[in-house]
Amino acid sequence: MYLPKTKMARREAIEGLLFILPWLVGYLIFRLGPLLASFYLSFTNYGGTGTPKWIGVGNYGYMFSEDPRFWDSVRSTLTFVVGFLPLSLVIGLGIALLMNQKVRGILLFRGIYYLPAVTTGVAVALLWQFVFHKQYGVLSGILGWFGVPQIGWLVDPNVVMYAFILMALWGIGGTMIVYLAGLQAIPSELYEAATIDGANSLQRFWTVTLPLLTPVIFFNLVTGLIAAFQIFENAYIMTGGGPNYATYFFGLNIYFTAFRSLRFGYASTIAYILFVLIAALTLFVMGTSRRWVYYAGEKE
Amino acid sequence: MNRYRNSGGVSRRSFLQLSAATGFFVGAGALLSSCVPAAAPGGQAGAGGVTLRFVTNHGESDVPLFKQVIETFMQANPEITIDHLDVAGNEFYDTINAQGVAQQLPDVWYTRTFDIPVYASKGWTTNLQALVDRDSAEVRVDDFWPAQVAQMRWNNELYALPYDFSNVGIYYNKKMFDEVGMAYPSETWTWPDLVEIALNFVQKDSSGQFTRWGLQFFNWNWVFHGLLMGWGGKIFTDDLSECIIDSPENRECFDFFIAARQQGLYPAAGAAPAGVDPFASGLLPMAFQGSWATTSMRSNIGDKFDFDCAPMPLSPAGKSCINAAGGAWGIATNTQNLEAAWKFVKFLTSTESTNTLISEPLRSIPGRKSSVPLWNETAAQGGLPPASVQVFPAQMDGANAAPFPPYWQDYSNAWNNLIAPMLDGVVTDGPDIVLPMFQQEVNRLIAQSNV
Repeated sequence: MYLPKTKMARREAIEGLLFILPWLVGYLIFRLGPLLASFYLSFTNYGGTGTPKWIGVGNYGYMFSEDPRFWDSVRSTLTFVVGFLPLSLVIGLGIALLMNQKVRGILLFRGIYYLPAVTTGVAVALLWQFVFHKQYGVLSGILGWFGVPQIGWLVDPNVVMYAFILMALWGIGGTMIVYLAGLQAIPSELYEAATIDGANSLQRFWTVTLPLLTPVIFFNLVTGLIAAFQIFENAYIMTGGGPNYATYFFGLNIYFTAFRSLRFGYASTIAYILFVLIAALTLFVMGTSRRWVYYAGEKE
Repeated sequence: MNRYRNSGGVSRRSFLQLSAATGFFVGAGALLSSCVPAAAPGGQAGAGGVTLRFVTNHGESDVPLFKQVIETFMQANPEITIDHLDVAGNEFYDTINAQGVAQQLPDVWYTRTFDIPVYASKGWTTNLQALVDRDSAEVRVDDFWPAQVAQMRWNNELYALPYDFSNVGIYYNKKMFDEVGMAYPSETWTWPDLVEIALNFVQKDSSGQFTRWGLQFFNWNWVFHGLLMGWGGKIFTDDLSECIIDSPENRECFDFFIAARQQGLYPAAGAAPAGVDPFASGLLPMAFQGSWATTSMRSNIGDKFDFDCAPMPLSPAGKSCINAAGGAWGIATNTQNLEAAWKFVKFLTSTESTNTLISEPLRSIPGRKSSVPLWNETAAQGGLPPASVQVFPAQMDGANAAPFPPYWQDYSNAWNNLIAPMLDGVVTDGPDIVLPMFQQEVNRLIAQSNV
């Protein structure tokens, strides 16, 4: 453990601790406490009343071997993550590149693209219900011009996931803004040097932009991964997990199990599996980052 | 000049000392508060008085009505103060469930009949049977609807007293009926009669796609249970330990509605326009709607057309297809003022309060029969449609009382995911495939809830 040696350093350390004390107290009481409590509850059959009864790994065994809804959650959440995340990274970057152009009115365009990221969830969900309506929706109307038959975007179990991915992509303004900040931090001298060396725009993108953006891509990948696994609001409002459990994402399963069915012990088990899944994938991504994330100025 | 002094004149030392003190007191206070037992719900209201926490799940338009009832009660009982909170929408359930787990439930709160077994089985609501027996002359259980009394029981004991009761009938557009020359529905019509009438209104476009249907239909499970019972089916065993929905009678009932939907009785999911009420806008001639909808129907339809309502059709065998559900008042087991809470619940459920809350503003069917004359009188005021609105309280007498099990939320979740898509035409699988699957799922959930 590091202990400051001088009086001044010790004083600085104490002052620093005092500054973070309110956060630390809040974290211990409102984060770490419930985190540990729910870990304990995941080994019990706690149903909201009485004393939780210890059942060992009973919940975990039941979840993996007997609960088809758990596997529905795994399937639907992973499908969403795999479908949404790569697209959000690529499309977000594409839009950011466009928004980085020096054209008249670019601030307005940036505002327009960022707007969906700050609109409220419920309003957006209701808006999309109109867009996705099978017979009278905007999307069906547009696709109808090209002879595409009506699609039950939100009512067909085979299609509903595409609708959720589309909806999520609409709100990638946050990803775009981070990319944009990254793009604007790339020194223009590098582009000038590449141009002098005869690089065309595609080569400049591959040899300058992309390598220098890898920390930003890494950031968007990790935060996007965590957020995508926690998808909840749109499914709660628009489909309730259906049809046929096709959108029974982890978040929804945990919510229904805990706050509707009042099986807090089992809900904690599902929540911990989600936590482990997110943590494992995040660590995996972080582990691979040394191979593909380039930090300017970092020693080899 | 002291380099630590900031522009505001507060030294860094003072700032840190203040921060440390604040942090200490906040932290210590929070830690200590988590170590001591939670403050008891309810409490003293001045000398010798008590305060009751009262939570409803209604909405802005009903809050003034509750305020009126509460003021009347507090004037008559100055020693009791009512602290009212209305939590609208699904947030209500989050609030109640969180408070239930924390043993911090309000003294009195709104509980739907399908929630009564949920709360009673968890020990959250007080068994009122002894109090009802003690004050039977005041409570007058025989003034409640038998079906609701059955639904307010858990293990044969009363756990709530009624607020309102709801059932479903058929609203119909008289103008559209006149246009196609159809006779209005009779009081004794059956579902096959309704389908026969409805098909006269069905229209398709050149591609064979329906553009008009005969009925606005909802697949609410508690209402559909009445249909299943009318067809002679059962949903659960008598002790609620098993789901037995996969029976020939129930398959026949589901087959009937699926076949009728395929003929155009009601729109499949995503087929009707979104964001408009297809009955109120004059697109559909009939609506399968609740007793609670009369007021909104009047304001939505206005003078666009004349409409009326008919009783829920009987099953092909002539049995009632009515199942009902209602609102009621429960008392928390964690209340420290049981007698005061009981006094308030008795007042809430009295004819006087029911008149104020239900009959005068024309909400759903009053929970007390003695309030029905005023409800009928209010409904008839101004000669507004539907003229036959009294069919709703009238069909209460023969209503089925489908049981609501303690695993109702799980059951509803499974219904919405498996049964509703079948009824709405989202999946092509019929009852022969879906019902065994649904039954298996519900029985799995029952087994899990018993662990």
